[in-house]
Order: sequence, then structure tokens, then C-alpha cells
Amino acid sequence: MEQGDDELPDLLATNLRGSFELLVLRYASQLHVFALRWIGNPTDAEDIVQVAFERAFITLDNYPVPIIRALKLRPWLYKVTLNVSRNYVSRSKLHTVSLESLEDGDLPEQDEDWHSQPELVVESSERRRELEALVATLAPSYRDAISLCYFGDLSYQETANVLNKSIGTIKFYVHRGIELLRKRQESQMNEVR
Amino acid sequence: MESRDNHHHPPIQASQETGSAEREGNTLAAPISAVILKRMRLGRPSLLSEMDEIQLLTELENTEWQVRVAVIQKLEGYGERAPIDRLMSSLKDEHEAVRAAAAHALGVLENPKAITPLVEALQDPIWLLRAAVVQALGMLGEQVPVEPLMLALQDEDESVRVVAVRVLATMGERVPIEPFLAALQDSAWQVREMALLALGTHGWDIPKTAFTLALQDEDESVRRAALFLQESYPERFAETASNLPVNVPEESTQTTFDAQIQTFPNAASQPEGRQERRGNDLLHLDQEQDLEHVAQLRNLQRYPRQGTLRVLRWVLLACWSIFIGYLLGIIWNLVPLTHADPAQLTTRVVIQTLSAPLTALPGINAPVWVRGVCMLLALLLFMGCFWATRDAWYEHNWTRRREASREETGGESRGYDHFTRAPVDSPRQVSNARLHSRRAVLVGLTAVLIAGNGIAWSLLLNGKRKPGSSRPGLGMVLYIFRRHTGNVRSVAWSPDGTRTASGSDDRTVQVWDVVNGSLSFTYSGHTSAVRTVAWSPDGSRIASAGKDGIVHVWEASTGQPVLTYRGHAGDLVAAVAWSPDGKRIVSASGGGSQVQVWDAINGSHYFTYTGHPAHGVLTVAWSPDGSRIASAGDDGNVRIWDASTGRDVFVNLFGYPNGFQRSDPVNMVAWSPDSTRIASGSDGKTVQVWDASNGKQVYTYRGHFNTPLGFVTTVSWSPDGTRIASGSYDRTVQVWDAVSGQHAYIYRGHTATVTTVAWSPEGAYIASGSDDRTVQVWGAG
Repeated sequence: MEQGDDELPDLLATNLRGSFELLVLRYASQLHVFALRWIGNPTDAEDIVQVAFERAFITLDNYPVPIIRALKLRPWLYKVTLNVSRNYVSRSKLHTVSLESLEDGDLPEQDEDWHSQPELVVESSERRRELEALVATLAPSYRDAISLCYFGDLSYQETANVLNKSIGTIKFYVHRGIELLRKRQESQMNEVR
Repeated sequence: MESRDNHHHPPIQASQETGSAEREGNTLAAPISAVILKRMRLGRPSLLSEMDEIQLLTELENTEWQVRVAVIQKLEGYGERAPIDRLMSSLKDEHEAVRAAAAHALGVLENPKAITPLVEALQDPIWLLRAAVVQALGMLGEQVPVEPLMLALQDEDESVRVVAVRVLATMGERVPIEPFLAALQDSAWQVREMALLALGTHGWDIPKTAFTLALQDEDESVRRAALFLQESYPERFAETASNLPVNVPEESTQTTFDAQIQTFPNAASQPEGRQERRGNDLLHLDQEQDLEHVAQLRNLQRYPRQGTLRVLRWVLLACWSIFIGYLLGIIWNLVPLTHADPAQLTTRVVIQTLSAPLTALPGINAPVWVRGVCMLLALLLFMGCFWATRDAWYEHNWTRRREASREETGGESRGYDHFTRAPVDSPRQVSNARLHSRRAVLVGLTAVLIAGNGIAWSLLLNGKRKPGSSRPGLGMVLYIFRRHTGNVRSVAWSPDGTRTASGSDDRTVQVWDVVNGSLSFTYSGHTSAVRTVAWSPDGSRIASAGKDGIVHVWEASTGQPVLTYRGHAGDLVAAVAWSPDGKRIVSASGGGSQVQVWDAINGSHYFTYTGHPAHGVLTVAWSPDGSRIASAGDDGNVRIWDASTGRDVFVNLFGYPNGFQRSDPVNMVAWSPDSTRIASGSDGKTVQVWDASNGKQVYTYRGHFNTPLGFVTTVSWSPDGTRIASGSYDRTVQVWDAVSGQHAYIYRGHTATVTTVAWSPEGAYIASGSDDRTVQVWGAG
């Protein structure tokens, strides 16, 4: 859990308009990377994150205060983003992932704010980018589970809640997905040699 | 009471053109959070703080949409002094952000004049706008008509439905419960969750069934919401909780909510007695209506099928293809059965063929309990298939009704792609297209499965029916040969069991290939009716004879004549038999009294047996050990004599009704494979089984006795000696136990007198010929 996560739900519950900006600042990048892994197109991923935040705003605006206070924001936002991504894919039928776009570095460039957003530093690392490119090639079930567990830093239970699967299924997906990733990485390395 | 910022704008999305500009200008350079904030108009600077009202109204015409939005937000704070007409006209602004800001401002100002334009704005193609309008209408309170909001509950966008359900829940008794019940089963978890929370926190009593379903919802957020209500309002929801199993993660049950939930906005502000009234309404619902609700809710919970049940249903539906394929396979097998002659597709044949697997069951070598379990499993599978079909049909109906309902209430299509900001086919159309595509794929797959299964079953069944393969069911018809134009008098199997030869009154002997059911060739050397046919033990030749009194020996493979035997001087030859070593032939004169033994190679006569003085000899049989010959005929006596010398071994003069007097004619004698017994069938309607060593009667089979035309014409011993088949004038072939004489099966395939019966060498089939001019080959079990 990130620092300040405990206070943010309270802030949102008392002053949604004023504190929603904090929510965006904190989670936009993570959600963008998550959406990018789904869509493969940075511009579309950006749109998805925007819509996800819009829907999150509307929902929070109508939630009872205690519900907002008890909300685990990160898994909840991932869930909302996942919904939007799925709808987007089913509408546009553009469920294609361009590895080149990922590898060519279409992720947001660092700017002067990057010090305040450490996750961007992580995203920019070459190793992580390669790994993400590999993850994007996995089947949707494995990809979602690994994305949420490893890149989204959600627990198995939280991932299970987001994906509406049992915790055992999630563990299986992650385990199997990692195995597949390992094999693909090895085969890639062999090709390079 | 928790203070809430109820007067803020919903986030506003960027316009198409501006969004593109922002992408080009900012996206690649700025962090994503900054881009999102900018596009959502969050964290914007105050541009207009110094302007007066007149300047602000002028700025409403500004070409920059951001400025127009800012002006509207500024005007919103003016309260009663705000220019309502200008704000209403902004509802038709070209930019959705301006329209949304205007909607929000009109809601905040609570001016009834704004209701009509706001309701019209519900038709906006942008979902965010519609959500903002619903929210604004909710702020206007009691003056707002309920119907547009109920239509918003059917909106294609889940966020609009979320806001609509929350707003409707605050409208009290003006809203019926049904839309909420539907919302509780919405396909989007956000709507289900909000419906639950809104109903629960605004004093509505949720029907137990609906609440139970929510507690068991597939989505964790919905389950949490239900738990929240239970903890917050234990007096209203506790009973449900204690009575029903709840599938909620452990983590959820540990969640405790703040005590302040009791003071959730609007909960306390409900008119006094509201909860009680709602509760009473539900309690006094007509029982039938209540049951209907419950059924509807259960259906909504059940469909669309998810997870294991969905997989199970598809598996069981696939099993149907196996059943249907099986039927097709069997039907396909009827074609060779009838030689493409539809006249042979009698009901009996079809029923027999369809029930072939059941009749084959007794032949399966497995304990009774194993067969019982298999039958039970098959029955369960069959019932499961019915369930799957019924379930799929219900879901299909449910989907159709739901779509029809949406069509009625959903209004015009709002096809608009949020991401590209371009009009597109409405989601429902896209969904239908996808549905049709999926349906086409499923139909195709099912057709392939059925066809594949049909072919597989056909091959399997066809293979099973071949001689030499596993034993077919008792009475299962393999072939019906209908090429004879006269009564069939005699049938014989080749020693290898692959062919049969049938002699007929039409003067021909037809040789059939039993493997594929085709006619190999027809021997037409006889000048009159053929009465008897016998295959040589080595299978190379066939001896046939008949009314012309000449015994023809010919090649079994080609029909080429080998020799003719004319020793009977023109008398009808009723029976011929080969010696087991294939070197000699015995032939009986049906018109005279002679039985002659002669050389099968050159036709030279060995001797003549004259034990049947003045009576026709109808049947003759060589014992399998080759030492003796049994003959019988019109005199009713069965005579056993030495095959080498012709001397009588003994004469069986008793057993038939007339005893030593004139007995009923014996039409057929047959040796048991071990040469120890003889079975003889007579016009006395019985089959006698004798001990071949001493002539003592073992038992009498009376299966044909009780029928008026029960004269037994033919008898055949199974190769293993355990069973006997007998044919009769009563048109039946009866199969019975050779040891005990107990009846086992009656074959009723013939429509006239059964004249000949022959057991195949391996014992799996019986060929029977009849005066109905057919030769029928069927399973012996």
C-alpha cells in the first residue's frame, strides 16, 4: 500500500472534488501502464484511463460515505479500468498489442515531475519494458493476473476480487503465466545468441 | 452527519479536436496524470474572478470551450440571480463539456424551468452528459417526472444507470419497486452495487430473494455492499443473513464500517413511516406476484450462465451431437440393410435397428451390476442433455425478452464511440452482429460435431455388424436379401462365414456376400425349382438340387458347373449333404424313397439307402463325425444309419403323436456339433431332441405348438451346440436353449412360412429363408 492511501479515501469522502486530483496523480500512471498492456496503443490507453477516472468520479459521487472510506482504492481503480478496457476492446475489436510500440518507448517520457512519480522511473527501465512486452503477449487470463499481481502490486485476494475469480485460479494463472514468460524469455535469448 | 461536497461538477472530457491537440502537444511530454487532469478540467486556474456579470455573459460566446465552461461554473454561484435562460441555451452548446457544466449548474440552481430542457438533454449521445443530466435532475427533487429517469435506468451506459438508480431511490413512493429489482440484477456490477446501496440506505426494503442473491453475487463489490447493509441495518437484513449461506471472502466479513453509516445522507431525511410503508407494500404483495418476482430474480441470477455450469451445459449439448450422430449413423446403416429399397423400411426393421444397442446388452460380457451402472450413467447423461437443452432454451428466451424490453424502453440508438468521438453503430447492433457471428460459429461447430459423430457411429456400427467382428444383438437385422422371385427353400453358409447361398423356387441359387450385402452371382443351372443347397466343407463348391432331380455341384466362387448327379432318375431331390471330409455327398429323394451316397469328385454312386420305403425323404444330415447319417421324411421316422455301409444304427419310431403308426412328417433333422444329439422338426409342431447314441428322447420343444400353423419346417443347431433355431409355418424363427429347451427369442421378420434356417459358422448370425421370397440375416446374440 502506498503512503497516504489511508488518508485518501477519507479525503475523497469529505471533499471529492478537491481530492480527486490526488487520486489521479497517484494512480494515473499505473492505470495507464495497465491499460497499455491491454490495448497496446498509448493514445487509446490514455483515453481508457480518462474514462476510468470519469466513471470512478461519478461512482464515488454517488457512493455512501462509509463505502468510500472503506474502499481499497487501488484494486477498485484497477477493476474500473479493467471494465473500461474490456468494453473498449469489445467495442472496437482492436484487441491487438503492438510489441513495437511498447519496445519503441511510447510510454510517457520523463519530465520535471518524474521525481514525484517514482513509478515512472520503474516503467522506463529497459528490463521492465521488455518484461511488459512479453506479458502483453500472454493470454488475457494470465496477462491480467500477472499485471495486477506484479505490476499493479495487488494481493492475490485483491486480484481475485478484481477479476472475479477464485484465489486458487489466480494463483494458477500467475504461476502458469510466469512459467510461460520464462520459456519465452529463454527462447528469445536463444534467438539472440 | 457527514459533510459532503454535493455541489461540484462532474469531470469533463476533452473535445475531439482539443483532445487531439492535447495529445500532440502534451501527451508525449507530460506525465499521464497531468494529461488526465487537464482533460478532465480538474485543477484549472480561476480565469474569471475579476469579471462582472455582463462581462461573464459576453464570455459565454467565447470561442474557447474552456472559457465557456468557466463562465458557467462562475454563474452557478450566482444562485437566484443566475441567468437561467442562458444556461438552458448552453445545454445545446456544440461542446459536451459546456453542456455538462450547464446541466450541473441548472441542477444546482434547482429552477423548475430547467426540467424540460434537461429531460431533452437525456438524449445526448455522450454518456457523461447523460450522467450529468440525471444527476442534475436528481437535485431538482420532487418536481422532476419519474419516467425519464426510469428510462435512464435502461441506458446503455452503466454509469448513467448508476446515477439513475441512485437518484430514483431518493424519489420515494413515486417509483415502483420493479425497476430497482431489475437494476439489482443488472449485468454491470456497478449498477447492482449502487442499486443495493441506494435502496438500502434510502429506506427501501429489499426483497429477501434479491438480497440473498446480492450476498451471493459473483462480484465482490456487490457482496461487500450487501454486507455493508447488513452491518448498518441489522434489523432489516439480519434475518436473511442468518438463514442463508453467504459466499463472501473472509476478508469481506472482517470489514467493519463506521458507525456513521447510520446517518448516510437522505436516510434520515426520509418521511416518517416511509420504511414501514415500503416494507408493508412488499409484505402485502400479491403472493402470485411475489412468486413471479422471485422466479424472475432467479432467472436473472441464473442467466447468462457463468463458469462451471456454462461449461457443463456446453459439454452436455455437445453430447447431444453424439446422440444425434448415433441416430444418423443407424439411419445410414439402414441403407445397405434395405439395398436402397424404401419398401423394406418397415417399422419393425427401423425399431429393431434403433434399439440394436439395447438388444446387444445381453451379449456384453460384464457383470449385471456393471451393466446396471452403465445404464444408470447413460440415463443420467441423457437427462443432463435434456437439462442443457432446456437451460439453453430458457436463456435464449431470457435474452430475447431482455433485448425486446430494452428495445421498448431504450429509445433511439445512441451510437457514439466515446474514444473516437465519431458516430458508430449502436452497441446493441455491434453486439447483435457479434452474437450472430458467434451463433453462426456455434451452429457450424454443432453441425460438424453431429456430422462427425454420424460418420463415426456409422463406421462403428457398420464395422460391428460385419461377420467376424463383435457379436451383434439378438435379432438385429443385418441384411434382407430380396432378389429371389420365388419362395426361398434353402440357405447355406460358406464355411468361412462370409457368404450365403440361397436356393429358390425361381430355379436359381444366389450367392450373397454377407460382408457388404451384395449379390456375388446367381447360379442358374437348374431347370426347375431348387429345394436344397449345401456348401462343401472346404468352401470351394456348392451342391444344389431340386425338382429336376439332378444334383448340381459347382464352383462356389464362380458358379462354374463341376458335375451333375442324375442318380435320382428325375425324382425331386429334397435334401443334399456333404460328408465332413468333403469327399461324399448324400442326397435324398423327396419324391421317391431313396437316399443315395455318391462321390463328390466324380459323381460315382456308392450305395443307396432304402430305409424309408414308399415315403418321400425330406431331410438328410451327415453327422459331424462323419460316421452316421440321419434321414427322415414323410413317414415320420428318423433313421440313423451307418454312413459307410448304409446299415441302420437305430430307427426312432416313437416320440411323435402317432407313435408306431403313421407319424407326422419330419421336415428336418440336425445333428448337434458333437454328434451326440439329433434335433428333428415335424408337422407335429414340435422339435424333438434325441440322444443320437440310443435314440432316446431328451426333451420336446413346443414353442411352435400353440400356433395354428406351427408345423416346424427347419431346425439348425448353433455351432457351439448351446442353442437351436427352428423355423415354422407360423412365420417365426424361434431360438431356444439346446440343453434345457427353454425358449429364448422369437424372430418375427418374415411374412410367410419360414422354410430354412442356418446358423453362421461362428455362431453370430442366423440366415433364414422364407416363402416371402426373402433371405434375412440377423444377429444371433
